[in-house]
Amino acid sequence: MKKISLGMKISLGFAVLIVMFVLLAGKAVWDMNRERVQISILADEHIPEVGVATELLGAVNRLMYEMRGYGFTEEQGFYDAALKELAIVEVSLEKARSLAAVATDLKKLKNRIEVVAGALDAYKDLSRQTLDITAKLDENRGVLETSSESYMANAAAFLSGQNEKLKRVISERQEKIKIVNQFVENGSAARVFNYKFRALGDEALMKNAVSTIDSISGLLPYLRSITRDKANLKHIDGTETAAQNYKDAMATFMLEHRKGRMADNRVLENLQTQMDEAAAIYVENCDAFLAAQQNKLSMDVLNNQVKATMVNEIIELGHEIRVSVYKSQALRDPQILRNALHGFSSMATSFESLKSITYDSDDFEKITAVQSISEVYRDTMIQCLENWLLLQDLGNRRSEAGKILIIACKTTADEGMQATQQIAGDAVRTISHMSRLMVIGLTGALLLGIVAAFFIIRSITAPVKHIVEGLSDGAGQVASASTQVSSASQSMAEGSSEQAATIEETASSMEQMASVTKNNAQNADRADRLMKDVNQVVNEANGSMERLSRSMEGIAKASEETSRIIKSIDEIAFQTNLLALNAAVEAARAGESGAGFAVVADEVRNLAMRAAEAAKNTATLIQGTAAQINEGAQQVITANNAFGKVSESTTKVGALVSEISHASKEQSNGIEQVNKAIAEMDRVVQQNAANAEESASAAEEMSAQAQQLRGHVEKLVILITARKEDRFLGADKKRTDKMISSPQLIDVADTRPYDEKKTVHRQKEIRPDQVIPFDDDFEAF
Amino acid sequence: MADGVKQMDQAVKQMTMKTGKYLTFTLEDETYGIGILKVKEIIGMMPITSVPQTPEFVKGVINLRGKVIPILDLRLKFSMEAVPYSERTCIIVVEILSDGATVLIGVVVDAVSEVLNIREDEIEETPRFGTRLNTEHILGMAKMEGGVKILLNIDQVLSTDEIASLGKV
Repeated sequence: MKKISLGMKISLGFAVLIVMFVLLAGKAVWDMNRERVQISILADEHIPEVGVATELLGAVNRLMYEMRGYGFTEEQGFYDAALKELAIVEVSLEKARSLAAVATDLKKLKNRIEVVAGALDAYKDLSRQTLDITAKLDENRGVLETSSESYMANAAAFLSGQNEKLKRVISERQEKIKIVNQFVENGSAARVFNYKFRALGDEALMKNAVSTIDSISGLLPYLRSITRDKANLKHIDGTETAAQNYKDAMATFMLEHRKGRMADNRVLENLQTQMDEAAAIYVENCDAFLAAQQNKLSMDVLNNQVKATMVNEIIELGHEIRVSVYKSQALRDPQILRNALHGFSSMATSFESLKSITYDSDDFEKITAVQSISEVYRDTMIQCLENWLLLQDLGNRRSEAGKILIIACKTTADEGMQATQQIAGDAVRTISHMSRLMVIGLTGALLLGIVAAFFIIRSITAPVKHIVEGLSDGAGQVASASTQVSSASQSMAEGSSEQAATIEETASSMEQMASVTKNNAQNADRADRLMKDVNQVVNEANGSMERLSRSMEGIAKASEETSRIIKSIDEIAFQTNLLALNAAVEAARAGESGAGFAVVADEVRNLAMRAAEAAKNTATLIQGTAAQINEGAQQVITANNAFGKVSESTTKVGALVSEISHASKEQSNGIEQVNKAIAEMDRVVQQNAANAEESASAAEEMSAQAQQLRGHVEKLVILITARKEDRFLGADKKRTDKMISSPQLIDVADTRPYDEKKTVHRQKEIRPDQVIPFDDDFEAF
Repeated sequence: MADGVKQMDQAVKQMTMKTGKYLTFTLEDETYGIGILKVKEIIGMMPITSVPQTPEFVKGVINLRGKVIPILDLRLKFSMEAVPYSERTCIIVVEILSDGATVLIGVVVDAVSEVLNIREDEIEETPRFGTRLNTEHILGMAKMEGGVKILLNIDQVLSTDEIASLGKV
């Protein structure tokens, strides 16, 4: 800590604070930036997402409401409104798509949009289907209406037709009965005339009877024309036949009767019986006809009544079904329609029973037509029911698709809201965290600043105090030292003049020394020249020795050559020996004939042996010579070495002598220089004396400066401590004053300077912190 | 043919007689002799081509004027210390009877001395060193002025199986 400069300390304190502030500010800026990004995502993506989802939700809700209205009322106005809403939904969806394409944070939105689009397509499709089916249902209703109308009209027509018919039938019957009654009357009249004739025998009566009978024949065709029943026709035929028979019988009877007495009684009686029988048949037939007519009349009426009841029943059923249809439509309950369908089975039974009692083909056709209309009605009703159920099913599916849409929109909106809440929460958390951090950081920085300020102030004031102390000490010491310097300078001046006298003496003795030295140098030169001559002689001797040794080497080489020749002679001898031996071998192998050759071989061998011997002797001799030559050469080498040593020694002696001569010269030169130096010294000593006096006056000047310095130090002390501190100044001042006031104590100065200097030096070493740059730091502080 | 028979007769006679000329040579300070008729030729040392997988004493083969001749060192054969060959070292080419055929074998000796004529009375029987010791390869001992010379039955010396097989090379 003490090695750091004051400026550095203060800068360090401020730097720590600045770093802390920068860190805090950086952290704050970083957090704010991050929040800004989050909030911009919130503003650009999540809030639009929620908006679009809500818009979509509203549009979808309205669309569903309109479609439901359409489903209930089937009014085109609702459907048109629904189409408008659909367009709005699609616009919203497009908005959502473009948002999803731009947004970075909305990953689920794209999938949701696909779901919504799919559901929307389904919904559209279903709506179209609804429209179609509604149209069909309308058509069905029209068919129902028209068929019910025609059903009722036909049924009513049938009923009125039946009544008309009944009336006609009754009048016909009455006419028939009237005619037949006429017949019966005529018949009765004819019988009466007949009986009268028989009683009276008046032919006029008989003729009356016949004409009476004949009168009916005029009515017969008419009766036939209005009678369709075969039994009745038979009765009519029977009546006619009976009438004819009666007429014929009466005619025959008349003829018989005219005969009078001549008339056969048996024939008459027979004819009478015939007449009675015919009359009986006639009456009988007429009676039967009448009875049948009566019977039929009552039956017709009854039948008609039954039919009317049935038709009424059918009409009733038709009404009931129609009412059910209206009711079901009014209540929007297909169950009623389904129940109404059961009425058709009873209607069918009614139709069947009606058909069973209807004989008139015209009527039958009418009934069939009504029935077919009823069947059409029923089919249409079934179709209508199916369509209705289909419509209901479509409605359900539509509402399901709508639900999917709404759920998708709602989840998107909810998620958007959640994301928004989360981001907002994050932002709030971050900002509160940031503000906490800022408060803590600022408090910490403040505390740190206070601590740093405290320590820096302390670290400045303490050394400054020390410095002031040191300075005041130093000032005193400088003053005393300057005094000592002045006294020392004076004594030095004296010493200098003494020195000058001594130097003159030295100069004279030096001159004597110089002449001796010159003599020495001359002698050494001569000796050197002589030694050089010796060296030359020795070198010559060396040359001849070398030549000698070279010739000795030549001799040795020649002897070697000779020994080589001898060796080859020896070899030749050996080879010859071998040849001789081979010859001996050959000679031996040749046996007796080779004996002479063997002797020759032996001789050759002997010669070879002798040659070898001679060679061996020569070799021995030559070896001896070589040995002696070698010895000579050795001697020469030894001599050579000795000469070499001599030459070396001579050279060394020469070198030494020349060195001595050189040294002597240098010495004389040196002495001259010493002389010059002494002259210089003399001059310098005199200069020194003058300088010493000057320095004495300078020392006095210095002590005055020291006083001034002390005054400055005092001011400094006052500045720092705000009061005058004698502690720093008192003792030294006294001491210095004493010293300045006694400049005459020059003899004491010889003992004192050493101690004083030492103490000054020591004090300097004790306080290295005095070196601290004083002015700048203090001002800065 | 007649010459051959005559030669053979002479050889047999000389072999049985032991009298005759002997070529003497030295091996480690001792002088040995071989019947001169067994000797074919004496030649100086020449480069020997060594043959693998042969006993130590077989040094190899040389080419003697177009003939390949096996060479063996008699020092090694007699289990003496091997010495480096000098300019005195010679090869004695001998004719050996092996399985009835004549083969040429070169024998390396320290030096060849001379051809000596030795009489019967100068030759003594091989002393019996003991029954176990095989002395078949020694013909006898020649008492001469310079000492005793050992006369070798070179056929016996070189009649071991190895040499027999060498002859077939």
